Formats: sequence, structure tokens, C-alpha cells
Amino acid sequence: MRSSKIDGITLEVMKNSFYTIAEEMGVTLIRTALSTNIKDRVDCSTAIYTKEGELVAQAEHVPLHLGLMPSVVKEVLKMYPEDELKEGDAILINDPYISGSHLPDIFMISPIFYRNELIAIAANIAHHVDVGGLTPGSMSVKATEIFQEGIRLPAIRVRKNGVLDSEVIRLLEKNVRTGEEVLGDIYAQLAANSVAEKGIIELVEKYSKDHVFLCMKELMNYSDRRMRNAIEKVTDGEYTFTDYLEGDGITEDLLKICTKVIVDRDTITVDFTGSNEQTKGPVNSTHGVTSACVFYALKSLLEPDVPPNAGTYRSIEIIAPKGTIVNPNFPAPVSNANSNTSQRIADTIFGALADILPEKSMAACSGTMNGFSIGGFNKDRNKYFSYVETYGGGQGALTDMDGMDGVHTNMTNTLNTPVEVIEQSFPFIVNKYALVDGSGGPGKHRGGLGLERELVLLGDEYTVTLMSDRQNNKPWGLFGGHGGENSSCTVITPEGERKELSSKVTMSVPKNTTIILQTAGGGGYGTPIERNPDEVLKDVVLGHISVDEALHQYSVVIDEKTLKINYQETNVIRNN
Amino acid sequence: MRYRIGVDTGGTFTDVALISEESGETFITKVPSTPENSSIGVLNGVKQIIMETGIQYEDLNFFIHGSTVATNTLLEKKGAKTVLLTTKGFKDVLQIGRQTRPKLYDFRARRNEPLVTRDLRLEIDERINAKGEVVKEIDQNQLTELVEKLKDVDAKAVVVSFINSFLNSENEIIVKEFLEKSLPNVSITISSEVLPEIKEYERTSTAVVNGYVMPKMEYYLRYLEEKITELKIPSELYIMQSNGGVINTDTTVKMPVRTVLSGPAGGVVGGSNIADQTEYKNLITIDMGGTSLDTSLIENGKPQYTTSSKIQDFPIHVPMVEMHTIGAGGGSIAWIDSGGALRVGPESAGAVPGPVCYGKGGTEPTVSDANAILGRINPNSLLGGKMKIDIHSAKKVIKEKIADPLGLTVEKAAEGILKVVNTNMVRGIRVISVEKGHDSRDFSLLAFGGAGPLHASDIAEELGCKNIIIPPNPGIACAMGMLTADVRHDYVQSYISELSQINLEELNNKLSKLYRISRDELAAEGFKKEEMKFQASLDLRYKNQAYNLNIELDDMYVTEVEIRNAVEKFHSSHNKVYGFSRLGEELEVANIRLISYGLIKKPKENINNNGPNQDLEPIGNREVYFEGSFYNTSIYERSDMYSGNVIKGPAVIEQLDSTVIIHPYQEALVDIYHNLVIQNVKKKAGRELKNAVLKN
Repeated sequence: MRSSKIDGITLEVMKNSFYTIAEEMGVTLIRTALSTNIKDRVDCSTAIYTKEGELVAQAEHVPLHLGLMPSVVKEVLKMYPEDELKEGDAILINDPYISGSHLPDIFMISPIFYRNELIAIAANIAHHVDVGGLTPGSMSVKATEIFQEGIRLPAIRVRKNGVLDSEVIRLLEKNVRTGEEVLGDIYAQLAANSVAEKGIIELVEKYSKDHVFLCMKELMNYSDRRMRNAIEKVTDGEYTFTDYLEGDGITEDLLKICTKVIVDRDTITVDFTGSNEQTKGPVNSTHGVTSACVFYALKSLLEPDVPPNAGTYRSIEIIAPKGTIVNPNFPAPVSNANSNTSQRIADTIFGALADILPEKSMAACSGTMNGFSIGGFNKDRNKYFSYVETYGGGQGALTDMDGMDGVHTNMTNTLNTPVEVIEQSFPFIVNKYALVDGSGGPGKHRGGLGLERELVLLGDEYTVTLMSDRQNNKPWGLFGGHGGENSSCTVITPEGERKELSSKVTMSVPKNTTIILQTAGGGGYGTPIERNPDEVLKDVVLGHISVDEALHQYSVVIDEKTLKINYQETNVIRNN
Repeated sequence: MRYRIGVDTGGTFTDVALISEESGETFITKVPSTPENSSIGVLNGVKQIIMETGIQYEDLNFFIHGSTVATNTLLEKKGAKTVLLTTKGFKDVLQIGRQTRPKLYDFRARRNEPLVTRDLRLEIDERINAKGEVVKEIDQNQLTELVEKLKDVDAKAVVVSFINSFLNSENEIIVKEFLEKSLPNVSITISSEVLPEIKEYERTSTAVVNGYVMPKMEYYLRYLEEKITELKIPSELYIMQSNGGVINTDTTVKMPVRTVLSGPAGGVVGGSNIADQTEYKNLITIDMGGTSLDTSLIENGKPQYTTSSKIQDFPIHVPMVEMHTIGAGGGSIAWIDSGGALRVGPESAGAVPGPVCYGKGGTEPTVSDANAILGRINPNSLLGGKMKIDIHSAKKVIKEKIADPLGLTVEKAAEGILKVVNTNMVRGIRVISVEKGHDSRDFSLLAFGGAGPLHASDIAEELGCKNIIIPPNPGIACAMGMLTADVRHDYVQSYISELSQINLEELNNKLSKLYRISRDELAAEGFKKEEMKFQASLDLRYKNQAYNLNIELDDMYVTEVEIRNAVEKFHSSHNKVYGFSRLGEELEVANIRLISYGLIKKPKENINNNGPNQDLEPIGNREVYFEGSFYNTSIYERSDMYSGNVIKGPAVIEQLDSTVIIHPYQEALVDIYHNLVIQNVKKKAGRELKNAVLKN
């Protein structure tokens, strides 16, 4: 167990110190940010690095950022090597083909100096409200090149020696729709890195530089050890899984994601060879986003509690062929991969490992973040508005429990907008916000239920954008569990005409249109016939399934009037 | 003589504190808690202190109780059968919550099951729109059917929470009045009375908690009230609320949700008393017991409040003392993880089986075991000899489970356990201090609870606190604190308006309505005009932002000047809390708030200039481990120490309810209020963490 020069006590104390710094960076960023995207939805992450650009500690905010944070600083250090960096410098970057994310995710990277020597690096990533491009929010489903998705910032030294480059700032401000908010958030990002600077220098003064360096390395070795210990317990072999996305916004063709997980002693290789070639529409997942999904799925399956840093991922290799949907070539558009493709990549890894890790696995979750936005001109208030939200769905079932109902899963965990806040802020009436009965995939343990929101849009004609998936392919079940119910989006015109929207669409709708969005349920686990009849009855009593469904899906006979199980008949049916 | 009595129910002990209103003299005692029916413990405690002091029941002039009934009912899910009535289309709001999962990477972590199951969440066809207009009235037939249904399911409590009821409570009130008439034995809670604030999930959750605990709380308090009357105690039963004020039983029975932090709030009130009395106006409080540590912050003598807490993940948005709980206590278990790091907690051995050294069947190494091995707590017995300590078993388990695997001596391993648990606590304390824009170096650390004074010095060192203050009875600080609390009521009215367009007349109408309600309520409780105090405030925010800041108003009538002052205060407060302000930006009012106080005459201060005790002698000495080696350390008895006594470290001060550690680099002074004030007088020896622990 002891393979290091640092004992387990020092390790724990220093681990706490490093993570405290990363977390306090995060608190500062959230506290001082201007946009609700960061303040309320906490769509940002913060981290500290060695001076060589190795990730030491990352505050856990957004799973998607897990894979982005490890690689980007090293790339930037190639462009700005140590001897070119000065105290007070700060570097901006959002180029997906370097930083790995989509354009709204802007990184801020600051070298930390102590007595004129580079000792560490602080970095953070924040999802900005807008970076220009075709549509507000910079995530149009119709983009076919990255140039339509907004302004691309290669690594730019935005602050030199402590002086902010006002020319770069002006350029940025003039290329986005919400200049004030973007700049406000940029300042918050700078403030967050200052917190890291102060914290690291305090540690160096308390313990010495060499001790801090040694502990940084040891912390990475620690995470590496824990991951490897966990991987070693997994039976060696090659495990494959294939799943599909439904269209890229331009066509509705199925897009294949092909995953092979190779477990070899204490290492894992994830090979995406065979996946769809890159698409015309913006569902291409950069190498960084793809890595994030791999890291997320493996960490949560094998060792949820391991602190994320460079060591955590040393045992993991990713093969993502260039020119595919999981590693596109420039200038393919990428903006929607974060909300859809990422969820499908995570699904394939869970799917691949399910057979050898049955007790740890989860059936498929709702499989998309269900991005939904409505924009237009509010006549009452005489101003433009933009409602943007992502909807949760059903979680996949587990070996010993049902999936959670109406919840964000895997790569995201952002809050919903309360009904009363929607009605106060937008010209809408909310008629319903509820769980979708019957949407959980039947199984010994059933999948979680999807969500339903019914909105009436008042006042004027508005533009509606849906970024969803799983309308045709159900979130799969495991070991005989059935798939969760599909998602859907229904538009009802004021004349009462109903129309089903496809999963990725932008369209304008007349005033007084009703929209009903239902998200997918999670897959079930184990055959439905194995489900405890009492649990089936409970779902009937709670109104999640009908007496008929209890009979047809679960072979449980329940008297409609008394709501009691007829065990005798149930046994007869179940035993046949 | 007239006395005031405070009784605080804790997990293991029920603490009783008694104070003379005339002399300020205090008495304390502890009796075992009786979790199955905590009123037995409360009454035992009262009888015990009466027996010990010879004071008469008839002289107990004011009876205050810190109750855990609401909290435990919630934690144990043992509340009443509750039905929730919602607007049609929204019965699942309580279950969906904010659609987030509790842990990012652990998909096995579950949310709380809602307190009302779905079959008991019924929808009513009614609607208030976003302007507060009734767009669908309630049909009486619906209510008649509803009553039958409620009888069928045998509901004991009904909670009504309709969409937009924070703007217009009409429909909720119609339902309430109908049900009160038809079902007089069922408790009714309506959300617009508990929390007339926007955001349906948080408002519903708060109202549901209220309804769910109400029947149990009512039964408990009425029973206790009856017993107090039987004992001829001439006081109403007052209950400590989470906001640091007390309310009478009648109000508590209607609003039990206000008591979820009843006991811990007493400790914070005690803290603000110390801030009032002494020169230490800025305090970080730590209340550390067997399983957890509660921490809060007092700035300029004022506790910090929040209106958006969660208890066990249930949002409860009533005003409470802002408190952060960390899963670290004497019973926290030490273990080595798969990467070879020493971890402490979150698992706890609790009271049963408890630490190994308590000899009650514990088998895992805990923080208390480490304290015993290092001589920090008495290695023979605790609680004045009532509890024996088994030091050999403690050493054995730490050697096997921690020291040997890490290749360390038992003492180094025990010291390591303390280091790690202290680090964990410091991280939690930073959440309510550093992360809220406070510099912990400007604060003194006020340590209480059985284990707080043991760990205070190490925590203060890490936070850079100036002093450490240990109150006279750290083990019953919450009961002591309650003795000085005033009656307090909080009122809120949602009122959303841009500040530049504000209709002052409308605002003042709403405020004076709150004022009249609050004045009548205090009058009904027997307060005279000169015993009433009111504080109005506004929740303000930058337009379209989600974060409110509460800004106090100087007057009960709002003028343009007052608004301008509030704007200025908002900007500077925003700058402090969020690190920036946007002068000139449009502000929005979100809520009008009013706090009313019924002032209760304070007992005389118990100032003691009788010291120092010139004959102060240690009661013994023992080997105590500090920074890498054992020191022959003097042991003192707290009650031997008078104001003005100074103890040089290293030293241990023992008292019935706690143990205080004075490090070799520290010195402790007893002040005129019998607080111990501990300060650093030397630089802490070496950087031993770096030097001693690095190995090659």
C-alpha cells in the first residue's frame, strides 16, 4: 500500500488543501459571475495544475468538464512555453479543436509565480451565454461549419503582466450578443484564478515549494493507484456496444457510435473505431468531450469517490479515429455534442461493461439533455426574451433499485426553472409539470419516469428550438429489462391541429400554440416477471401504471376495485 | 427569587440550565435523553435541577425549551399521514424537486422520498395567474368530494399549496376554511401562510414539512404544557425557534417548521451574548459532539441568517440561523482508503456502539480513541468518573487498523487522525466564513459542545483566528443560550417590482399590513408597546438575477430617501458578498420582510470579579502528546478557576461536560464572565508536518 515518499496522513491533509483551493476558485467564480448560466446553473469548473500542465485538483461541478480540464493546459503551454510566461499573464481559449469543448465554453488560464519562478497554473472553464454565431446562445442546430457557431479564440494572452488587453476585450465584446455579461463573466474567471494564486502561494510559504511539488505528484499517483486498483477487479477482456443518435439537425439519419472497451490488468482502452463519420450538423463530439464521457462513465462505474486529476486518467487510453463523430476534423460544427452526443457516448460505455459488471451497471438513462428554447419579442414588456432550459428524464434501473424519476443524469445536473418563475418571466402559461406515467422501462427494477411540461405560448409568434433525441430508439434495458418510453414533442395549434416535432428542430409557431414536451424514461433491469408483485402494486397505487399494464407487463393480477394482488392467479401466470 | 429555565433535548443528554433573573447566578444539570418520548427526559431534567438547587417550581418564571421533536419526526419519517392538495397538473412538483441528482458521480445515491406519497397528492381544479388574478374558481362540489376522500384515507394533516398562491392566497384560504369546518380534527397548513414566496417547489416543501410534523408536535407540546401546569410552574411553555427567537406553544403548534434548528440556534444566541458582553464581536462558533459539528458565524455581534436552508435535503425556506453541519465528531471513524490515504468519517460509531475506548462494543478506531491515546481526554474516566475509558483496546485497534498499515507509531497514527479530522472541519467552516466573503483572521473561535474545546486550538490555528473562547459550560451552551432569547416572529410578503417604478403607497400598505398583524400577535402574547421592537427589510436584487440580498430599512414607513439608502446599502453589500457591484443598474424588490421582537427582560449579568484564585493548583498531571512528543502536562479543574487566573500551556482543563486543551504555545485567561480566552503566546514549534512526516 505504501509506494510513496509521503505518508497517508500528509497525503490526506494536502489533498484537502488542494481541493479546498480548487473549490474556493469555483465559489468565487460563481459568486462574482454576472450571467445566470454560471450563477444559477453552475455551468463552470475550476482547477489547479503543476507548472508542467498536469491537472492536480479539479472542483466537481459539471461532469462534462472532467475530460476537458486535463488536456487543455498542456496544449496551451506548447504555444506559450514557460520562458514566455510572466507573472500576471492570463490566457483565453475556446477553440474546440484545441480546448476540446464547444465555443461557449471559454477557458481562462493563469500561470502562478512565486519569487519570479513559475510554480503552478490555475485554470477555469465557464459556459458563456453567447459567443455570436447563427442564433442566440450560439448552439444552432442548423450550423454546418464551426464558423457559424460563433467567435473562435485561439490561445490569446488577454492579460499581460497584470495589464488587461483592452483591444482583445473590445474585439470579443463586439462579436457576441451579450457583451456585458460575457465581460462580467470573464472578470469573474480572472478573479477565480487569483484565489488559486493566493492559495498556492500560502501553501508554498507554509510547507516549502518542494513539499508542495512532491505532494502534487503524490496526489496524482494516489488517484492513479485507486483507479488501477478498481480496474484490476474487472475481468480482462474486450467488451463492445453500439448505440445510435437520431439525426444531426440536418438529416434524420441514424448515427452510429461503436465502442469497444478493452480491460487489460490495470488499464482500460476505449476504442471508438467503427463509429459514424463526422456529420454535417453540429453533433460532432471533439476528442475532449469524448474523453469527458469516457472518464465520467468509468469513474462513476468503478470508483465514484476518486478525486479527479491527471493521475485518475493515466490508466485509461482512448482511441477515437479522426474524422468521426467522436473526433471530428476542423471545421465541422460541434455545439450540440455536449447535450446529445455526450449522453450517447456515456450510454455505450455503460452498455459495454454491463455484462461483466452486472452489480454495478445502470440501464440506459433518458439519453439526452432535452435542450429546449423559445425566443421572441414580448409585447407586454416591449423587449426580447429567450427561455432556455434542459429537461431531465428517467434514470436507468440498477441491480437493486429502480431508476430515479424526472432527474438529470450522466453528463449534466442543472436545475429546472420553477413554474412560477417561468410565468413571471415569460409570456407563457404552464398547464402541467409532471412525471410521465408508464414511461419507465419495465423490469425487475423499473427505469425512472420521464418528465412532461405543457406550455401555452401567449402574445405573439415565437421561435422554438428543440435539441433532443431518443424519439425512436428507446433507452435500453439490461438483463431482460425493457426499454424506457421514447421522448416526444407535440405542438397543438390554436385551431387544435396536432403535430409531432422531430428531435432536432428550429421552427416558428403562431401565438396561443400549446407545446407538450415529454422526455424519455429510463431502461429497466432484469425481467419484469421477476419484479416483486408488491412493487408492481405500489406503482399501480401511485398511478404510474394501470392494472392492465400490471398484468401485461409484469404478469401481476390486481383487482381493479380493491387494489389487492391476486397471488394465486399471479403465480399461475408467472409460472407459465 | 425569579428564575428562568432552559431545557435542551440532545441525542444523548437533555441539558438543563437555570438562571436567577435578579443575581444572574446559573445552575446546570444533565439527564439522559429519552428518545422514545422526549418529554420524559425534559421533565426528569426539570425535577433534577429543582432537587439539586432547592429552588421552587413556583419560582420558575420563564420556561424555554429546545425541542428535537420536529427534526426527529422529519429524520425518522415518523410524521402524520399527510395529504397534499395542489393545482391541477402539478401534483408531482414535490417529487421532481429541481430535477437534480444528489451526487454527481454516484448514480446509486438517491433523493429523499417525498414526505407525501403520490396517491396522497390530490389535484384541485383551480388557478391563479402570474398577475395574482383568480382565473379558475374552486367549485364547492369538488370540496365536498374531497372531504369524503380525506375521510377515506384517514388523513391526519392536509397541506394546500397552489401555483401562484404567493401572489393571492384566496383559493388556499377557501379550501382551508372549508376543511376546518368539515374536518375539525385534521391539521391544515396552507403554503401562503407558511411561506408566501415565489418558487412552488420550495414553498410546497416547506409547507409539507410543517403539516407533516404538526400533529406530533401538537400532541407533544400540549402534553408538556399540561405537565408544566401540574408542576405549578407559572410560565407558558416557550419554544426555541431556528431563527434564534422564542415563540409560545400556540404559535409553535401552528408553525412547527420554524423549530427544525431549535437546539442549535440556542448555541448561536449564546454566542451573540458573548459577543455583546465581551470585546470579541466577530465569532465563528463550533458546536462539536459525538457525530457532527455545527458551525455558524457572528459578525459585529449579529448571527448570520438564511432563508433557504435544507434539512436532510428537504428545502425549508423559513428564516434560520445560518448553520453548516459537518459529519465530524468524536465518534467519526478513521480508515485507510484504497489509495493508502488516511480518511476520517463520514461514517460514525455514534453513541452506540461508540468509540472503542468507551467499552460499549465499538470496534472501529475513532477520533475519541485518538484523543484518549494522546492523553487529550482523561485516559481513565470521563463525566466525573461515571464513564471508564479502555485505553488498551483503543491502542490496539489504532495499531492494527491505522498505525501498522501506514508504518507509523500508534501516537503518530492517533495524531494523524486528529490532523485529518481537523482538516475536514476547517474545510466545512470555510464554507460559512471564507466562502461568504469573511476573512477568518478577523474572527475569534467560540468552541462548545462536548468535543469543541478539544479541537478548538488546531482549528483556530488553521483558520488564523485571533483567540479561542470557551464558555463556562461548553457542554450545555445551547440550553444556556436559550435563557436570553427574545420572542421573535418573521413575516414575509412576496412583492415583485422594479425599484425605479415602485409604488411607495402600495409598498407601505403591504408593510403596514404586516406591521399590524405582527403588533396584534405580540399584544395577544401579552407584550406591552414598549416591549415591542420591529425591523422591516427588503429583499433586493439586480433585475433578472436570482440572488436576493436582504437590506434592512431604518423605519417602518418607506420614503424615497429610504429607498435611496437601501440602494446604496445593496450595492456595498453586493460588493462584499459577490465581489462586484453594478452602480446605476436597475434593482428589483422581491420580498418585503418584517421581524417583530417581544423583548424579554434580560437576567442580570453574572459578572465575577472574585478572582484570581491565588491557591489554584493542578489536580494532577499526565503525559499529553503535542506536536510529535509527550509533555508532562498539568491538569486543572475548571471550577477551581476564577476570573483573572492565567494558565500557561501545556495544560488540560477538565470539567464535567468537556475537556479544554491548552497547547504548549498557548495561554488561557479566565475573564469576568468565566469564559476561557485562549491565545497564542509563542510561535508554534517548527513546521513539524513537513519535517516529521516526510520519509525517505
